[in-house]
Amino acid sequence: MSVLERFERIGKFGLIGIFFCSTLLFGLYLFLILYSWNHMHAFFPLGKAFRVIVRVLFFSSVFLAVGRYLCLKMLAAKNPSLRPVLKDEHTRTNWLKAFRPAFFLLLTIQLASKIPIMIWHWPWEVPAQSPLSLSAAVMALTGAFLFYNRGSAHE
Amino acid sequence: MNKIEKIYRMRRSVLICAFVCSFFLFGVFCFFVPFWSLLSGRHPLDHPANFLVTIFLIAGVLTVLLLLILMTRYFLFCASTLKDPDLRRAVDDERIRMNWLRAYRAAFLTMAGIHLIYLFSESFIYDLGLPHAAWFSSSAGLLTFFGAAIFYTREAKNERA
Repeated sequence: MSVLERFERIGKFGLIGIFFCSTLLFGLYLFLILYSWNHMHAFFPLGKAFRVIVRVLFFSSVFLAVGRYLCLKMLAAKNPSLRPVLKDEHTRTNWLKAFRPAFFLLLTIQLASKIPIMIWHWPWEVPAQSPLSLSAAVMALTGAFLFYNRGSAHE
Repeated sequence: MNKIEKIYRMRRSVLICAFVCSFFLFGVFCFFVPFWSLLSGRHPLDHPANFLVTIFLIAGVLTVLLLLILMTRYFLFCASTLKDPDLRRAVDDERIRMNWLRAYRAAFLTMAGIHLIYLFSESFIYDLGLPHAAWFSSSAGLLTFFGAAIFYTREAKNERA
């Protein structure tokens, strides 16, 4: 495997790992909404296990992000020929494109958490609003980038 | 003034009006809701007789109406003039698309930053006690989006000049 292929693989699999962890986190927070909405805590208390899983997922996504960044930096420092790949215009545009769906998802989540209360007066307060939004933001950003960047390896 | 210039001008006025609208929204959720609740112990929108809040809300509604009028005018003009593909390409080129994408980036980072501040303050420092994280972050995101779009459009206008 050439250095360039290794470089691209580290970048891609790092992002896939972050996407996977943030999707699981988002799913867990969605589950928390349904859980509190249906008053399930009266029958099945979540306990410590839920917090441990959430923390493991959060720290593994942070670890993956930092590890990916450091690995790419180190590889680029060792091989100066890889530096233009880091500053590739196509990749930058793909990152910029990925911000658009992420922004709209974030906005939709905010409005969806408030408008039912405002219009229909649902007794529904979203638990863990900020973690839910942040996990959705990371999921949408990495997912959209992976989608837009899917053809670049072949190029 | 040619058609392209006119479209740019109309787009800019729509953006400025949308920015003012989001400023009113942000003002309600950033200023009135937390501070009024803190002072009176009640929700500010429960006080329709209050002079300042009423003026603020009326101004906000008027700006929304103005925005609707400007947007209708803009889209009608675009629908009538942009049938020519060359004109369409001139108005919607790659640089303008990049400016929109940059504006999305700024808005996304603002919203994510606000939620990060909320998360850290609730987890480690002090619960801010602001119950409107969703409204606050979405209005700040919209404000940043329109502000960034105006800023980058201005940059493109300077480059054209």
